[in-house]
Amino acid sequence: MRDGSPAPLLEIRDLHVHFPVGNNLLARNRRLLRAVSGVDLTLAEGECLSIVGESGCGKSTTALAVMGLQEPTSGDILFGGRSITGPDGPNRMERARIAQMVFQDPYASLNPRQTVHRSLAAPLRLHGTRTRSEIDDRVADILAKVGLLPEHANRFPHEFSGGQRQRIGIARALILDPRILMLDEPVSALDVSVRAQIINLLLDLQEDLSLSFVMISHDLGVVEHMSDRVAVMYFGQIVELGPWDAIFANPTHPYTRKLIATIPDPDTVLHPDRDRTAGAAPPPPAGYRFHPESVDRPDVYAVPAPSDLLEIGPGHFVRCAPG
Amino acid sequence: MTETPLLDLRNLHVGIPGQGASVDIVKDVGFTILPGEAFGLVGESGSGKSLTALSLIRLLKKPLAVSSGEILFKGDDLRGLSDKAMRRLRGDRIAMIFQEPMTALNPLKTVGRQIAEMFVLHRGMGWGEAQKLAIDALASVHVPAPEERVRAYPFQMSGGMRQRVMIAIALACDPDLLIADEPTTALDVTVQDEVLKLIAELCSARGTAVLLISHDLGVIANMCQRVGVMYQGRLVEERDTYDLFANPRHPYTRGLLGALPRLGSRHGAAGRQRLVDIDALIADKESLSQEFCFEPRNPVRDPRLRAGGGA
Repeated sequence: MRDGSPAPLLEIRDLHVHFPVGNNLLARNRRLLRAVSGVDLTLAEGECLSIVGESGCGKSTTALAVMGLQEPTSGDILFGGRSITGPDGPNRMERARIAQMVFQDPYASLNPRQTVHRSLAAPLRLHGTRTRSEIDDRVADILAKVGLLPEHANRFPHEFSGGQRQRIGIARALILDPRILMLDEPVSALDVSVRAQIINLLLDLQEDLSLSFVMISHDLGVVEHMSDRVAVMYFGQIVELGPWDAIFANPTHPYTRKLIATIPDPDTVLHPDRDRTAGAAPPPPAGYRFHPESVDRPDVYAVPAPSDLLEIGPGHFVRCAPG
Repeated sequence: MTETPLLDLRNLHVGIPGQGASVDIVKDVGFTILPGEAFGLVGESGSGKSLTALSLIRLLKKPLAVSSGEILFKGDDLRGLSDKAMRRLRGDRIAMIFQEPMTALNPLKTVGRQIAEMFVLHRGMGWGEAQKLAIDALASVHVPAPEERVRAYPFQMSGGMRQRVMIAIALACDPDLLIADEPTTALDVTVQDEVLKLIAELCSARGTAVLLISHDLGVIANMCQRVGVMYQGRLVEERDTYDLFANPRHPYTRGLLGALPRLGSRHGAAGRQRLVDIDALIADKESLSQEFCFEPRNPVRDPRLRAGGGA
């Protein structure tokens, strides 16, 4: 799945995350919930990669594994060619400078009892910035970058609107100058107008600071607007991966087609005849993990049948039916 | 289409009554809904769309109250009804679906009983007969194995199934008007699609009019014949859906449409256009406020801080 370019910034190789389910004391007969079963992804420098899929498909678990917040069952995560999982990987202090996360709910992800300054300064102190003036400068600098004023530093989270709080969440993620931002539904809790402002801000920051984004979202409008590449996940596996234009112009996997067909789009009023799923595709062969006519969902406890990602266009991969 | 409207809302003001001047939160809202029509109210949080809907069926929480206006339902002013008459009407002629199906359902009663309640209260049936109709009602919203699911409790069902139960309760007595307040916001996109199609299908089959409230322009566009756009407690534009999306007149509507990342709006690899910033648009044009009653909103919540300004 490598495209010949220099080593990617981040590489996920055959990632599996399984959770034991059931409360058998002797840990026998426990079933394994396969949240992520065999994900391979790469992220290039300065790229925005989006992972889309419905709740429970394993997209957040993948993000948590990259952040080091969820121990992978197996598989490797490499940053700049070096493994960051397992005992030989970097410690948490080093990891904090690799990737930081922006969470969905700006109300829940800030400490209500700490001023913005204190929330932003804590990581700096932990990472060795000791002098007060240095910390103050850095906090003022980062607030300016996200479009807030220096005097906002002395306020508490409840004094801000949702959009401003998300700006603080972004400032908190950026304060240590990480190379990668993991955006977990960064705008889905926000109103339309505020959402537009935050999306504009994220795209500006990406350019100014040459950041790489991994964005998790189920809002395909936002995904299309922001991404360079899109990975579609379905029950722990990537079913389609490709450049954003290939995914939206030529969705091939039946699940991708269903996702794109079901988003409510205001433009359908103006062009009722336009079929967003690009004409009549041949019906998917039986045995896909997803079948549009079937109401059965895959068994998350079963080992998925081996299947391959097939390259159908430049950088555009689709999982074919197993067997 | 010169039928008499099913609902005719005239100059509705909702506010907090106080001594002397009351503070109005919903200002001068008026629209009509014809029988069998789907009307959408769209706006951002705090624009007053939910308050408008709640005031129709007298479910406003104190201290909020309708301060003036007329709510004509089939020609009668609902404001003149007694609480008892209003209770009879609610659920029978006007039903409502809420956003969060977990909190709107009673966790201690089976879903079958909650549906049967409608027949017992509004149709005077016995519980046995009502329970049988509840199975039919569940079947009509495409819940699989309705004979078994009537005995299920809400926590045993998924979000999409719970919302289907809510729809079954709301439509149990064949109401004339269904108010759906963000019915699919808590659901996944694929489930949202199924639930919206279900509402559209059932309501058009029964001739039920729908008042759909949503912040999602896509949902409104797909469901409604006419749309009202609310901003800061006012109805700023009310049009046929096609006209609104093809040719929005009010600057706020234009801003709202421009702020939306829409599918197929990005062209070419470099085509990441900036989305329209509504607040900047408003700040730019002070003259708007005279022309359209279009005041910039204040982003700072605490009045003490307003002098400081903000993002």
